[in-house]
Amino acid sequence: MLLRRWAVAALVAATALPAHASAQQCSAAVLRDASISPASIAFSTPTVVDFDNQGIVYGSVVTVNITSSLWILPLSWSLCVNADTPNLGSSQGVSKPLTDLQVELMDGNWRPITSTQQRLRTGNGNATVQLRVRMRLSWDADPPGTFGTVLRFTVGS
Amino acid sequence: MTRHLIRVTLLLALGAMPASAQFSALPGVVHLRAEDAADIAVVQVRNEGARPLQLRLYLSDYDQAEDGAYLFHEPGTARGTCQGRISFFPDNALLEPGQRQEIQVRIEPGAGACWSLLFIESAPEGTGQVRVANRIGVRVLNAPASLPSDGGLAEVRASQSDSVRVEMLFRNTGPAPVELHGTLEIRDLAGTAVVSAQVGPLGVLPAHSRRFTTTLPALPPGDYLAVPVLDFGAEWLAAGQALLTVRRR
Repeated sequence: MLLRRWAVAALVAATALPAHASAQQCSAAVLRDASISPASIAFSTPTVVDFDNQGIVYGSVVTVNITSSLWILPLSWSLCVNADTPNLGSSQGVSKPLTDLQVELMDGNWRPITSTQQRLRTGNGNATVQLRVRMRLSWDADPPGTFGTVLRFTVGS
Repeated sequence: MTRHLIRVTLLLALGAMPASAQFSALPGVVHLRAEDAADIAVVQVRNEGARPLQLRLYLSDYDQAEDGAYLFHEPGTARGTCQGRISFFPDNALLEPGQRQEIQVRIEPGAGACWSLLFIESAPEGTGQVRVANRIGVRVLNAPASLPSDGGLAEVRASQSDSVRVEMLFRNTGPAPVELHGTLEIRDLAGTAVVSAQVGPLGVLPAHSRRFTTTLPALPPGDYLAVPVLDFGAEWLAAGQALLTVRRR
């Protein structure tokens, strides 16, 4: 009830307030910029210990720097990730699943990579997102071979 | 001395770690009004990095969930797609550091609104097992001037724990995509704003809702009103209010 009454009040007030022309100019001046460091991730050759631990974590933190502002005004953004391939490649007739590649936003929660978009984080204004990357390993399932993919980070408004 | 040497070496190693392609797209949202005649806009892409950059551009359809999450679809497969009416040029660019490229986006005449995403994507770099590509999605919204904007705030909820959280739900009931932006004020019961925050811009597609939360610093005990006022391109503004009671702990 309160909500409806306020909406009516806003209808009256709207004539005195700047309307959408300026809004579109503002949103047209959005700057979005992103960079990811490093640009490629090379895991060291897994050791027996890595297989016993069922995974190997990439040694450096991957950093995504996002610029999303209009002068000093912060603008909203979303950061998604997906892989470019349906799996991590094959060896000896066995495909290594994409979900063996995982990322973590420094929160202890490992997220398997998928070929469909997965939203990692949303925010407002300039930001730095840090993540760790790991490859799951299995004595039973992994054949000898070299595996990999292209990770695609998408920044949108 | 040895420790000093190690520290310097580490810093050098970190500095030498190559970053992915760094580029910007301006604007992030393109508004067009093609109806009886075509409409054209320009997106500026700039190489913000220190190395030459190869970019490719391509289209995608999209939908958005209530929380704003994107769902990407093949061009021409989603409701509201601009496929068949949209074109852009060029579809690739090789940019030197600091160089800009204008991308022309054109929507052909036609009835109704449409929306698509223009992706600008860097080529994957490096030689590791996992290579990184970086892309920016520019939303292209075509909303003819004859289409009315309609919608409103359906819910406003305010609470405080460590900070004030105001959750809002906007429903777009019109035939055109809208962009929300405005302010959220927390007022005392005398009507004086004690704190405020910018809201948006946030896109909402036709027949969609968008739920979003704004966080503000914690307030001292008392009764307040959370009052969002949002411009969404209509002749009126969307507004709502919610009572916020902060109790002593």
